[in-house]
Amino acid sequence: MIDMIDYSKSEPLNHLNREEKLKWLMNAYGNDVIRIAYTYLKQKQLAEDVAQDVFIKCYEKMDTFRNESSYKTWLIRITVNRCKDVLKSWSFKNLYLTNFFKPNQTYNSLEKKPFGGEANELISKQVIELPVKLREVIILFYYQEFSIEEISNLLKINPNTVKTRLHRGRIKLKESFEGAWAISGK
Amino acid sequence: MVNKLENLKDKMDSTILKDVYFDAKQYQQVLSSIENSKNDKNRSLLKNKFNYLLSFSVVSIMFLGITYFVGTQLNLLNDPETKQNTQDSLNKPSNEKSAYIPPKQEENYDEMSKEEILTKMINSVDYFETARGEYKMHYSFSPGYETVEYAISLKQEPGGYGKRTLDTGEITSREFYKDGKVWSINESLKTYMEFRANRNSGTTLTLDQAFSTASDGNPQTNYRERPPISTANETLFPYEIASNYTRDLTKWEIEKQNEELLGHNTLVIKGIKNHRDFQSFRFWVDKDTGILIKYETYKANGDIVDYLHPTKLEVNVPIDTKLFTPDLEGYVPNSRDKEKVIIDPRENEVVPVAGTKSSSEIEDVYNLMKSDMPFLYGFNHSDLQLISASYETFKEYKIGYLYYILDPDNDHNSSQMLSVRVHHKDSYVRKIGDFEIVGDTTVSPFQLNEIKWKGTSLKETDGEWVHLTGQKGDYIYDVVSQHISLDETKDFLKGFKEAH
Repeated sequence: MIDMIDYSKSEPLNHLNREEKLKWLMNAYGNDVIRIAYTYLKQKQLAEDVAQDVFIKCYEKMDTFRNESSYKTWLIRITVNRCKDVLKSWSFKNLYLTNFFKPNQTYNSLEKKPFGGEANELISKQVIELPVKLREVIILFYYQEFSIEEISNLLKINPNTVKTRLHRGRIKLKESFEGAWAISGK
Repeated sequence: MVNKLENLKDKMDSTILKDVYFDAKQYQQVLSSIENSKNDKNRSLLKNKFNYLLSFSVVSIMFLGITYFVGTQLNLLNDPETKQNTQDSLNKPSNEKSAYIPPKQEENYDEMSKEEILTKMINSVDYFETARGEYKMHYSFSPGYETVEYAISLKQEPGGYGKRTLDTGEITSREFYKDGKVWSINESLKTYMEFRANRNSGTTLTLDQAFSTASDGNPQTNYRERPPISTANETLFPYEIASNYTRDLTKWEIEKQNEELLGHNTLVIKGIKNHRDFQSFRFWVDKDTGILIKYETYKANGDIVDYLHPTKLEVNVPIDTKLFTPDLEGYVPNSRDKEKVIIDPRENEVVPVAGTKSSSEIEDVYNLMKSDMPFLYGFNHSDLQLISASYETFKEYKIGYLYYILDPDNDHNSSQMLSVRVHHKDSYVRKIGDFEIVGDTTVSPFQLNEIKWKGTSLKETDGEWVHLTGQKGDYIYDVVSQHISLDETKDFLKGFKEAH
């Protein structure tokens, strides 16, 4: 039955035991967690590690969840915090940047490749290359469809700051998107 | 722009995120890590117990030795009958072999208090040896029900199996456990995962040991161990259900002391629960084992919301352990090992000495680096905050890394960074993204604070990257700025000075 549930519309029940609830949450939100992690860390292997950490932490803290927010918000909050810890950590700086921040792989790719390709891919890449603080509000608002209030709660920042960052993010995307299309001659 | 961001989920999921998903392997790794951490915890508890046991044993042996000596001297231990009986029992042929028959379960009809029954529920693993059963389970958020069949042996040849079937007849999953190995089978994908699970054991928890409050005011719970397959947890080991529903003794009552259910004598609990889908619940708990045989939750008007309805439950019956071994014919293992690419064999010779995993360690690591690396340089600008530092060696050479963040808003969310690497010119250094950046514009060489600098810059949509390499004597200084312009980087370099 677990596989048949429409996870987007329901939350695990209190009487599920911890293992069952964890399995439920992994089935329901595993992809959300790992994809959010990827948008922060831009590295699949690292996003996988974070997703696993998040669910282990979720299991350990299951009893402290008080239904004040949805399980999804709770998990995304843990994910965001974990990603920010990783971004600041020595191991990330020393080990994980290797595969990503190489101009030849990532940054130049925008100039060389995607303009003939899909617009969807282009906008996705533009989003993921935004600075973290603009990127995260864009992702949480447009990708995860959280409200300004929820994002404010989740990131522990003022709702007006969320609005400002969304605005700045949109402007930045507009600039880079128009620039990209101009370069590609379309 | 807003239009382009519509359906961003679909757009990203179908492009850059299309290969990023939480797969069965990660799912299983989480479960295995949790299982392993439980075992570690138990091992440390066991170690403590072993120490106590050892001390006790030594004292006991000494005491018995003295007693024996005194006894033999006084001819008190030479009773011929005793000797004869011992001899008989040793010579008696053993007929107990092969099939293990657990002690018969005796129904309990004693009056039980709330504390007694709750203590049994959170320690049910102590009160039976084998169980075999079947139940139907319904969740309000999904139509129909799921049938769960299981068999478990806890003490003799520990193992188990479980199967979940939808009311449509489709088997969704099966689990097996034997000889410390667990197999989890996904029927729709025809795959299986195999992992090891050490058997763990704990001791009976009192209510106070199980339910406590953490310093932040949140409830905290200690759970007993159980077999590493989850199929029958809701009924046989209802620890979480007991914690979530009945930890507060004021929220429930014993409705009936004795009610028969599938041949078992149960105690019926009725309680209130402030849940958005239901307001009350009823549990039927086996009085001799603490097994939660049946449960129902109810809306205010009495309608059933969720239920676990058993169709069969046999406790302490002999179980054919052949059931615990899976037939994996036609199934493929679900495993994709993480790829490890070693760029340069010399990377294996780089040894980490110290690094910051959290902000509290930065000062210590930085101080160590300053004392060990007289050639270390760092930034002393008040806008730059040191967020990470590390120290490693390659052969006899010392290599230092410092990472600074430029965060004018002080919201810990900036993407403006300065990364520094210092090392001897003959030392090998690992390939690290920041320091591999080669921009498309050459920076005119310049000199600052006795260091000669050269490098490149790269303009991106969200800011500039600059990679400068400086040399002073035998030492190399790499400075990479992320989203900080060349002019600003040069400004910061004015404050790049000897760190000690």
